Amino acid sequence: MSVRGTHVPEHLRLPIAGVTPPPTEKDGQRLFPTGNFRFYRPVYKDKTPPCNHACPTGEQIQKYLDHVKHDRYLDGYLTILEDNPMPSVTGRVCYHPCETACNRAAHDEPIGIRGVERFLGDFGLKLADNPIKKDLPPLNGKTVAIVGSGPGGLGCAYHLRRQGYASVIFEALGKPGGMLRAGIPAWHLPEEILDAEIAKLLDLGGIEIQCGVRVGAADAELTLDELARRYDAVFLALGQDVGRRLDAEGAQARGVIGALEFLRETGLGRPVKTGQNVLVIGGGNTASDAARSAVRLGGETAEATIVSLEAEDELLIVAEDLAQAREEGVRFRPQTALVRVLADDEGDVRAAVLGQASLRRDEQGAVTPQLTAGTEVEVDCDTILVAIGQVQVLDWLPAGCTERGRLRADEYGRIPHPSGTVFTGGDVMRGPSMVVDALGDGKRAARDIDRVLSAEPLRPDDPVEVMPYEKLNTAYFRPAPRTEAPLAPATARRTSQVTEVTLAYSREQARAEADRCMSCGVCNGCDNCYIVCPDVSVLRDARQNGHYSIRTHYCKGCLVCVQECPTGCLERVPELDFDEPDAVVRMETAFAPYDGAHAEQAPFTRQLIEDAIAEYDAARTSDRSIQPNGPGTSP
Amino acid sequence: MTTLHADAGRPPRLQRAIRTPDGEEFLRGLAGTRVRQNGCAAAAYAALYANVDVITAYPIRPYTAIMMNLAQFVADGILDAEYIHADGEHSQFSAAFGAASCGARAYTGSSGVGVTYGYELYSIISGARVPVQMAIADRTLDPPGDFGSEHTDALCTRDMGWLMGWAATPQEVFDKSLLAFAIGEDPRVLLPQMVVQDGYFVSHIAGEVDMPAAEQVDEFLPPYQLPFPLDPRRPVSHGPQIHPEQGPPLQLERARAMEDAIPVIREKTDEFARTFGRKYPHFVESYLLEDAELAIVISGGHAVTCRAAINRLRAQGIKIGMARLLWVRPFPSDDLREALQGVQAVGVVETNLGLGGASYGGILSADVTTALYHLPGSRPLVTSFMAGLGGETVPMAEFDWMAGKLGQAVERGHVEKAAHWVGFED
Amino acid sequence: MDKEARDVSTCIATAARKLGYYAENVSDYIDDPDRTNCLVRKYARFADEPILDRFVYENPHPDWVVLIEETIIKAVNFFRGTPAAQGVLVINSARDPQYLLKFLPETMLAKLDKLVVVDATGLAEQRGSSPWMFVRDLSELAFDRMSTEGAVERLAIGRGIAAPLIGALVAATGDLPVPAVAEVVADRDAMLRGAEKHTVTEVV
Repeated sequence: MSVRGTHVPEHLRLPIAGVTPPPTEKDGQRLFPTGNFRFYRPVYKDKTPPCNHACPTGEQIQKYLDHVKHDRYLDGYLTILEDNPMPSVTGRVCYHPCETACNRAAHDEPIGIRGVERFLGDFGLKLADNPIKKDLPPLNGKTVAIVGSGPGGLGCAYHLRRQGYASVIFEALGKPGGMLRAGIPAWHLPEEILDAEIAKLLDLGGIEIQCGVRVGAADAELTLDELARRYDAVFLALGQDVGRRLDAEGAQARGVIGALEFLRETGLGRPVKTGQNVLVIGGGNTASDAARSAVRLGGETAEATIVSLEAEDELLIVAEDLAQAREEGVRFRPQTALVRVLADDEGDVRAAVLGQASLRRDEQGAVTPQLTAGTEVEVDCDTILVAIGQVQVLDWLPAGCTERGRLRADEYGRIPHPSGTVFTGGDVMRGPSMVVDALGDGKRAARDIDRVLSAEPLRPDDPVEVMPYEKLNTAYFRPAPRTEAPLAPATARRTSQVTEVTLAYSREQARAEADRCMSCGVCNGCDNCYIVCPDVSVLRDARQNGHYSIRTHYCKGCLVCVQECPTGCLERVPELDFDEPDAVVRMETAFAPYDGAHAEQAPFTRQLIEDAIAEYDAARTSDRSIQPNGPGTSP
Repeated sequence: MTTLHADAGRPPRLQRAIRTPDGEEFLRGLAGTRVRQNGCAAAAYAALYANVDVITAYPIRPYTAIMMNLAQFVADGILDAEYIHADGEHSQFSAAFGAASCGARAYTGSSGVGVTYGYELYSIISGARVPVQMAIADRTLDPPGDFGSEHTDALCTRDMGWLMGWAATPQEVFDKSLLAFAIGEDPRVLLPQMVVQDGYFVSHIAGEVDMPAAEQVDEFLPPYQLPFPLDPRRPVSHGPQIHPEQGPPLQLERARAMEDAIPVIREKTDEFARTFGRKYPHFVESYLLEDAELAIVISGGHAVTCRAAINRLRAQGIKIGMARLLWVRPFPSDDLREALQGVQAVGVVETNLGLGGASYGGILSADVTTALYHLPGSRPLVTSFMAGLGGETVPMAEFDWMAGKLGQAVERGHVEKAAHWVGFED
Repeated sequence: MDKEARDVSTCIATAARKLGYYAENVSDYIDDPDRTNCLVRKYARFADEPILDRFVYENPHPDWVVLIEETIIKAVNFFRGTPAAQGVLVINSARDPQYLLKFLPETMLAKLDKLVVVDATGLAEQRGSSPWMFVRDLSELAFDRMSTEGAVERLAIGRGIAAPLIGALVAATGDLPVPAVAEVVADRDAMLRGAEKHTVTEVV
């Protein structure tokens, strides 16, 4: 026989028919570490979604949307609580810079993030116990003084407590909440919701609110220096709750009311009487809130007209509020100025002289109306609400700390006080801003107070990379329209000061909105990379919110995964940008066959035929007699 | 001489492929030059010079480059031919057969399992006496996938009645293609031809090829004229159903055709030498065999290395020579016997697999042994060497080993075994 | 990159032949030409005596190794069979040679005599841009593939990245005169740029 005396060298032995381990098995890859062929390798690198980046208090919006997508409401709620203690509030009143930044707007329509936040906030309020309570650190013995129990002060107190600091909040009004109670109407933010959020906060322990205490009042013992002396740090969240006065002839008539004062008294449960024919002077959100409150208070026949210097498209009213106002019958007179107030003999407002005007600002940015001569017209009215700007009383503060009606602060919100431990935030620092701005300032102040008290240096935040729409692979996102939050019918809204205008998302609606989130720049475990990899080189190991790893010794760098990643969290990196040259696994195979070793063969495939033979032998030794099938030729 | 359809009458003239003006200019530029090209290019150029009428193609490595080159010629307007891309090798060969049956000079080819895919057609085409040319760049048969050269793909069709031979260099591929057309189309032969080259070693490695003038080729290779083409103006039947009693005469005729090809091969090879100046032996290249005690019988490209090895062995005093088979079908028993006169031990290099055959090794040694069995006087010892399988190179060191085995056989007085596996034995 | 590698080996062999050497060049047959982003190899050799083992093509003892793309430095042991301290490695890279040397283990450093680094991608004629390296336009790529299958070259030999690589190789090794090789390279200017602008790091 010709094969007598032949022997195949060890390294060339293959089992029967050349069967080799499949590339999906570990040995199959070990034979050919083709990772060395790569020019680029894929790396997972999360970037910041634009919603997170736009949120002034840095909420991890993408993360809680992902939780809602998967019905993990508690996890979603806890995610919000890391940055914002009152999602039921912001979920109703925030002007949602997140939605404005949402990349989905470039795709079809932005996500209804505020509605989802409200959904989670309300879920949280219904929980029997505050879920974060058990994980709070013990109080560390330090106490911070906070002036103002609006969102800035409450937020600061919350974040301080989470780090172990106690706080005392001094609130000038009789009830806590600041602008949340005394500025935002109840049909926007119901009182019971606000009370529940504040109660939840106080339930954490270590936070005390002293109402009816005005710091800096002429006769008060509490000055700024005194606060700084008695407490470890101070946070001034004074807000800007003083309305700018109308400087027009006849403005001292009865019935000319500051809109902020009107909203405050209404919010504190002492509603001001307004008439049937209300003019609201001003073109911002305060004017809108005031006008809409007025039509509710005045009854079915009441009318309110917003008189603004701004043209209709210049109005500073948030789009949805503007639409709702119109539905409720509020009228508009844009590009109009109040020239004179006319009173009757008793001194009550009876009419206003209006004239066409346009908005101009002087060099300091102050508003100066430009009246068009000869356009004056007399309009009947019985109430004039003035909403032309906000200021604050700051005369009790050292002179160097104020500038143009606001508190002067450095980039960390620290005011120039010798103690070095006085911080500020919110409207009093920024000018009229959003609730969420104040929350964010409170959060950052709490962090920075902790740093100062721990003798750590204050430092700016690390720069982030925000994920733009262009870098997503949008082919994976089907067009889906936005679910608008349902509204109470306009007729029902007008009749009550407490009927909520914007209603909640149902569970399905919240989930549907969350489902539209494209998770910009953040891996959400969609498995696309895992599915498209032609080399079985994406491993799903740690699956907390979908983390994968690349089988680097096999991945050939085709970058299909990078291309097909919908969220853009996969990037390519040049292969030779490599930190560990010693970790290179080199292929010794497929070169110079005369030196041997084309490829090692894996033991398990070698075993295959031996196992099969053993199995066959074992089957044959079992007792089975063979039946002859008929008389054949006998031997 | 076979009589064919004596009453068919004069066949009508067909519209044949012409040389296009671009083609003429292209060939004028080539005439008399020496071009460095691989075997695939050489085969394509030969088909261009032969002005083939119909090309049927289907891609498979390594012969596919032949068809790529031809496609480019046709696209550039250099070659006026019908280029048919078939859906598989079976259709590919069928189309070539059909075209040739109508009087077109048909050119096709394949490699490896492509050759076996269209196996049905081989007997049909040769039995119909239609001289299609098939360019094969050989390749190992599956399993598993291996591009490398083995001769089994062509050799396993050896009984089907085609003329078959290996070319060892790109020049020989060029020359053999023209020669094969001339032989196969000769009305005394009318047999299809397989012009085979080693995959990669000859098909993909460049060598120097002397290009002739188109006129020389036209002189050597007359236009193709099938005596009995399929033509509606002169209807004939090809390959009808027959009675079993008609079988033996037709088979005898086919066997005679193979034998009748032998003198035509000699004649055409001499004519080729006169026309082009390159002289090939008729059937067997005899290298240093005059006083050889040991001999290697080989076919194909590895003969190039073999020659170098033999030179080196001769320098060491070993009396060894090489007989290279230029044609494997018809098998040149007489010429081989003559070449191996006086040799004591013969080793047949088998770059092929003849599983379960008498030698339990390759295919060729059966033919060689049979041919040598009828040597008058003492017959040499015959063994075979399985070498170059899977497309592996046969380096000079392996030829040295083979010579050693042959020497030992002579000393011992008998061969160790019928087939040695080179590289797997001590 | 298949075409670039092929051009390097073809130009070296052609120039050597013109200078009177016996020369062979060939593509590795086992490397499937359909491969994209995987290792493919080409070989060339020249000598002043006839090359006897004609079909031993894998150059088991390479003296010169040219890497068309820099990451291949960590891919395979391309110096297997090279005599100690005699290997010349030419690599198309813009990186610091000392950084590249980190990717060679001791066994390969022992074979290395010279490391030649040339930014061939930068020195080549710049034609368009592509997110993928070295791809010109698709029709040219189709012609490349034809030639790797064994069909006749349709595109000029020695253009693109191949030209500066050839220049650097020839200049750094010195066995073939640069002007003689420049004659067989299609993009002569790029070749001369490569011959001029490369670094040679001698390995002790």
